Amino acid sequence: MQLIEVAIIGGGSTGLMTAYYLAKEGIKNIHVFEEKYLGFGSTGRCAGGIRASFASDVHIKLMKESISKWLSLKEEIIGLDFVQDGYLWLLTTEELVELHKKLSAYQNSLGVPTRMLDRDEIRNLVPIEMNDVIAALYDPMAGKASPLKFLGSVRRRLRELGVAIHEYTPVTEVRVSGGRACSIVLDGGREIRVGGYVVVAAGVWSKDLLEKLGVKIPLKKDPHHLLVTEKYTHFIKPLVIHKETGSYIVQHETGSLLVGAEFPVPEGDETLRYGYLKKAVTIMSRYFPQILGINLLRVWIGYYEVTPDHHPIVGGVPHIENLVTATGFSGHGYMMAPVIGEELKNIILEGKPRIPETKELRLERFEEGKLLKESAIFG
Amino acid sequence: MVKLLCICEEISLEEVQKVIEEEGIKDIETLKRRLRLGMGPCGGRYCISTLLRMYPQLFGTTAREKSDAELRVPPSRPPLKPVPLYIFKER
Repeated sequence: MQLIEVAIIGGGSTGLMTAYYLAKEGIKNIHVFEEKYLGFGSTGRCAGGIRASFASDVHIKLMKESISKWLSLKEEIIGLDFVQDGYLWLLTTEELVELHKKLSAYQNSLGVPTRMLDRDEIRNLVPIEMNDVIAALYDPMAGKASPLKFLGSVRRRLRELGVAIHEYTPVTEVRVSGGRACSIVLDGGREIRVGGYVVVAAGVWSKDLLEKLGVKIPLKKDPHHLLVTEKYTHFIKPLVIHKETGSYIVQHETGSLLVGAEFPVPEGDETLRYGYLKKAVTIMSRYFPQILGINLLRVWIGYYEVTPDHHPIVGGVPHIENLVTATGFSGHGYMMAPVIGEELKNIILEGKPRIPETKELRLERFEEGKLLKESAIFG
Repeated sequence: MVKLLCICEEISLEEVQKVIEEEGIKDIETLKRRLRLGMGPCGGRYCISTLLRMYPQLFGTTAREKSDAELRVPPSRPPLKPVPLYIFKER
């Protein structure tokens, strides 16, 4: 039977970054198993936004570290295109403005340089029809990185580093014996022995694998739509969010625009909804009427894997010494992938993460009722 | 002369051959995301069809012997053809 050192289950951003940081440390015999093509689950479907401007200490501290990693990855991996073009939250009610003033002060206290912009300052930043916008919160540290470029460039780099990438190779089971994950089983029954670690980074599908091992993991699939347009002249640099409705727009380096909107669909019925298109276009065209003449190219659905406290689950699981997981990113997996990949590497090689906040992401918090909280300003 | 395999995204046959060879890409789904082949306005109607015709030359086996699932032909996503966003705007 084949013996491998590290088995990474899931070829999305989290799994790939874990493979990358392990390979950089000189670890050999790393294998990534992906059910379909790389990024099939969530990475290839996401909008590619990256920010540290959150409302919890844990998110902010990890994302600050992740952003510095995105900056170095850009130098380390040819073709990866992280740009710090910022995030802009359009605020349309007085309550939202008050709340975001407090939020900005909180973020500033943790070293995230967000600031409030008035209407003139907003106009200087983006070609916008102001309508009901009163003010905005701006985060100049945030940015975007094309998920497809990320996938292509990281795939190429991992191959150079000698990481084995197995596409179209679903893992159906992890076998545990004597408190150790000793092998994985592929679709079709082939068993591969694992000498070192098993990493479960399979997004929302991690739940199925872990539950087979008796590990309870509180993950819910939350489907979200996204649309992409044809290429258009570059006209909008930051990722812009209409805070009141959660709709957003972002233009990537190719010129394509992605427009998202909150449009809940019941779990299990994930057909594309016309209502989403209507909502996304109606809200965003109020502020950016330029988009009305641009052609829609594609619409799709991707999943957020949501935990009860909207923070991820990172680290070991009870009673299995050499299995680690990273899932439940609740819509932020791609932006967190660099820091989480490195922390999983640290857990594997040094027995513990380097950033104190990573420890707070342990799975046991749910059983113990010690859920993480957003900062007090959100009441 | 440069032979363009994908007109929308201006991807040459040479580029396609290069990434298949150098990066060990074995399926159309990965190729699509790597080069944006089939991601332009034609939605893959022209380039993916051309790619399937050239399959033996590119991948060393004929496409005809394989099922759609084995070929990993990307699914078509709606809309059927590009439409301007204004038709979705609520009036």
